[in-house]
Amino acid sequence: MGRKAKRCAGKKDDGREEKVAAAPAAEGASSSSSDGEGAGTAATGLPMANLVRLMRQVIPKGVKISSRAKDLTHDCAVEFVGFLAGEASELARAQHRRTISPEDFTRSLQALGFDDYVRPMSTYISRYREQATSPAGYSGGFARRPPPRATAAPCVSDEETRSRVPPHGEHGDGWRTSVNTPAPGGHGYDYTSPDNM
Amino acid sequence: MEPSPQPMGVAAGGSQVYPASAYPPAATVAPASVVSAGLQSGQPFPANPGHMSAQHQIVYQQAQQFHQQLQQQQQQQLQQFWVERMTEIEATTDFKNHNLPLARIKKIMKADEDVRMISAEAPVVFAKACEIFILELTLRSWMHTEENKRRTLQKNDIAAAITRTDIYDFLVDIVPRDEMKEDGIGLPRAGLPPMGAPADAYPYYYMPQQQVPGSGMVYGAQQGHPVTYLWQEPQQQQEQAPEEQQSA
Repeated sequence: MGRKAKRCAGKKDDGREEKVAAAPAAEGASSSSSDGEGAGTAATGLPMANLVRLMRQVIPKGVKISSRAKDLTHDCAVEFVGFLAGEASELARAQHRRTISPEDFTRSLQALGFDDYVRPMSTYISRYREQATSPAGYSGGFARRPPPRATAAPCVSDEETRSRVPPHGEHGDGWRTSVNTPAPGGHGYDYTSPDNM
Repeated sequence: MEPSPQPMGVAAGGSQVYPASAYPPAATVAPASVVSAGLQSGQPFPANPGHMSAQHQIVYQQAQQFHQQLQQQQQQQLQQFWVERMTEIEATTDFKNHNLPLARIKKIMKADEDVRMISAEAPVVFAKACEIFILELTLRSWMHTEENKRRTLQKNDIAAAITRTDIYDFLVDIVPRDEMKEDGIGLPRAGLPPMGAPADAYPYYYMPQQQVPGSGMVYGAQQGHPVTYLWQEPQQQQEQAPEEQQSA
């Protein structure tokens, strides 16, 4: 019930309606041609080749994936990112912060019931920061490099990086504290044998 | 495209046990409802009611065992999935190359007007979580494909995975209605135990139609294939009786 109540939030609802409206168009495009990837979908979503490559990692060899299954998985993945981003944004705002941090993300996972994700993602964040701070050449706020793939829009990326320097400094201590004491992973559906613990 | 393989599969399964005599549609629906009512009346079946009841109980128990084994197997698959994710993350050394482009992830995040400023680390984390989400959704969808003895992952498999998984509630609006209808929206679990044996022969998600004869008839009136399904399925059930007699 809680989850559905959150889904009924005004702006989120509008967003979903837009996506629902967009989905039929994408399906129309895919139905006209056997190839699932449409120009419209690619511009606002994820690359279909990357998506299919991921899907094949968990299914046996020789299994085929229908084009419509690829399209639907793509739409679900986009919705997943938007859904979590909205929740993370609310959590950040509730604490009077304007920047979404990885901690807001892990908290949103927990709030939305993705318990199985919390422990893997917390570990991922810790390891990411370890490697990000290891280079000796970096100091202070510049220790965290901008995303590599952002080279397509270097000006925007640089501006965003500069504008985020103060927030980084402000939350640096919090992050380090969080790194020292990572949140314990929650157990999902019958996930009762964490061998790595 | 999508509906095509299923009728062929069903036809192949049905033809193996197709009886020589044919029944009119009206007659085939009534026996189904009688069966769903719990065999209160043995009139449509050649065997005596008591005998049928005992045999039906045996079939029910076998179906229940099959269902429990299936659930255990799927739970094990999911547990192994999460163990593998932890192992993979702990072994990660390259954080520069991602399976999903960060620029796209950031654009999706900012599509929501509420999302204003994002730290440099956030897209990296979101990309990884999205990657895991795609893997988990695909695995759960594949489980449904396996249950239906198919080798092609289809749209309705994803719809089924979304229906069965609580944390996927936020995706319900994305799944088209026809996919939800085909999947029977949650009924597969309820429908599987009493019809475990037939489920091996053809897609089990069609079984809920039998529990709602009126709805099935309406659905059949709209399309041709469902009518064919309705014809073959009751015959399949009636064929069960002679088989059980032979085994006894």
